[in-house]
Amino acid sequence: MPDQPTDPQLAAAIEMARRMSRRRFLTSMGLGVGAAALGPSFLAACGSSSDSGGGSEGAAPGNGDTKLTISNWDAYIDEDANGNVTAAGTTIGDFQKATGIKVTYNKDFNDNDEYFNKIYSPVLGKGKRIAADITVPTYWMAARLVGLGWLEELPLDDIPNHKNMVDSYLDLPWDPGAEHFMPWQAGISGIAWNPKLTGGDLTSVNDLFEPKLKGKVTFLTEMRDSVGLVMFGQGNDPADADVATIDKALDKLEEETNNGQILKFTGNEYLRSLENGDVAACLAWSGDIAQLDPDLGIQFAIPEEGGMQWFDAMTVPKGAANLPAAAEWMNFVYDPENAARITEFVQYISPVKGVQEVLEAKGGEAAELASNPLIFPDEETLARVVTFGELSVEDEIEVQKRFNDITG
Amino acid sequence: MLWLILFFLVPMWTLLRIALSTKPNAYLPEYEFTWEWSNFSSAVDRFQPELVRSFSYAAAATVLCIAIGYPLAYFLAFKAGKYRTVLLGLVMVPFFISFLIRTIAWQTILGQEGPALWFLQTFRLVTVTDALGITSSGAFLNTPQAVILGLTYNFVPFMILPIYVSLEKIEPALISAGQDLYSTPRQAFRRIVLPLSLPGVFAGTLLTFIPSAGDYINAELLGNVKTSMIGSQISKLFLKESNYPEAAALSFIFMAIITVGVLVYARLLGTDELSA
Repeated sequence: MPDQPTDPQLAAAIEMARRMSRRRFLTSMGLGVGAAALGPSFLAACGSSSDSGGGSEGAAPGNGDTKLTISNWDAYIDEDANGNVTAAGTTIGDFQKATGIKVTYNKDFNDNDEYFNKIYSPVLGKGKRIAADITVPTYWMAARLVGLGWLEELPLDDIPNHKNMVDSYLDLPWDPGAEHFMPWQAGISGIAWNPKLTGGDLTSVNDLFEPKLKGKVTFLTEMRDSVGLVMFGQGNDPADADVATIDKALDKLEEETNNGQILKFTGNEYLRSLENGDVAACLAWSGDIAQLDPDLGIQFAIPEEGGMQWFDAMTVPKGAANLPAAAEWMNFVYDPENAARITEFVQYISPVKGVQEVLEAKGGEAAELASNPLIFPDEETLARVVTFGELSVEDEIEVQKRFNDITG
Repeated sequence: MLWLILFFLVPMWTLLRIALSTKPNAYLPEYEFTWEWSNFSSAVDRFQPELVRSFSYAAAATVLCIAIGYPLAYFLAFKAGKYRTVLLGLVMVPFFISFLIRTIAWQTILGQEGPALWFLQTFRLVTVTDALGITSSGAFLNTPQAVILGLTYNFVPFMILPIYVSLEKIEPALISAGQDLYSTPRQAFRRIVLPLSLPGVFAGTLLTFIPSAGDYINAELLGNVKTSMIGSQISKLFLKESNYPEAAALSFIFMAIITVGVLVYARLLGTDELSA
């Protein structure tokens, strides 16, 4: 594919093209593909193995505390008016000033699977050190990495603000006590619609399968969101997903795709389609809709059956060069004042206790955010959302394979 | 010769090796070379529709590129006069904007509220275009037609330029000579200009067909769930399913088909310069 630009160009191009740059924006496109045809050894060579840790049995962490490299999703931290994330007055700027640690912040985490297959697996899997000291995979990927032993245990003694973590993250089966991760932001997947085209409000996932919406519906390429919400519609609980219930949901997706009900599966390109009227209703992420212009009238709801909750987690890859600096950073962003500034910008759900109070105290627009139920869901809302159950390696591969066949 | 080994044979060899390997644990970067020919058969079984689709869309786009590109190149070479350079520059202007952005722009043009449908609706042509297969039940975007249109749009300069070059090389005196021998303009075109421009058409066909067949951006952005092409599938095998061996096998099959196709095409239609 000679004339296609390489990854960073594509990423930059899309970023320019999108009025609304949001995280996950390349999800459905798998934009590593220019390199894909060149063979895996090439991919492995492209992995960001800047310092090779050498040993084959996993590199030991370094004790660097003067610099820090972070790989995060796009548009996922506050920046100044010029889009500079490290400027004075931003979270990173203040962190650098307070600690003297020089931060390299890369917005190169575009897709969990892609990052896994291009960087985690080829480099960490060979016991080498990757360039980033902190990466921010989604919870299920973090769980996979914990299982593979590819994450450093966090030095909790050096992270006193770990205590500010919202309690629900402390008793996850794959990492009780959250010793290998600290959530960055969380969100809810539900349904969104354009009332002008649907002619009414949607309440259930199954409303997306109404014949009058044929060919006007999109689902998400994120398997856990699409499958999980369909499972809810079928009366199953995605938190207890097993092969049988997942297969039943996949059957439904296959049927609705074959009969033309589902137009396509997207990353957050669905926003454009929803605004342009090419799509009447779709699965959507809460933070995206929270940021949309209210005049468009786009509605978002957690289906009555339930919605999917997800979070992205700061993790330190095995053998990271600057573990102490990473700990300082995590401690810094778990200070409610700092966390509140990030929330104000990204408008997702903060995993840090006390952010709502800080925003309320600020008054004005910040206080408005504090009362936005999509950013600070109440107990009743939180009771209705779940995270997708854990899958074994074999099941995960099988499910993903079938899902890919359906999504085309 | 050295660069051929370095940039062609070595990658191909690596690719073939992976295609014949197994990956015992999907998450670990370890391969066992086991002469796993089944990677090839399972890739073909699973992705036959995408293979067929890729080549059909690419063929359709190539034909459209010739239909659009040839007259345009002809005009540029013989009729544009002093505007030739400017017009030739205009053909190249889209390249100043990223491939991706240009394709995303088509989403707006073809969308429900875009100018294309507005035009059709205002002049009540939607039923006509539906019947002709240009639109599908009143929609332009997210159809196979939109994908082919996108491919045509994105690759037509690669058709125009080689044809232009071959036309531009034609000595005008040859045409005058033909006319002196009482040929009509049509005969002069058919007997003189067309044969002499065929190398350009041949090169243009290769330059549009091959990248079109491998393209996946147009299918992803302008198509729907039933229009995905082989590039997307290779990428998903790599990046979503961690199935490097089958992805390598699929890439290999795809390249092999193209190579054979190009050789046959060169034999049948090619010129000495290119097939030699």
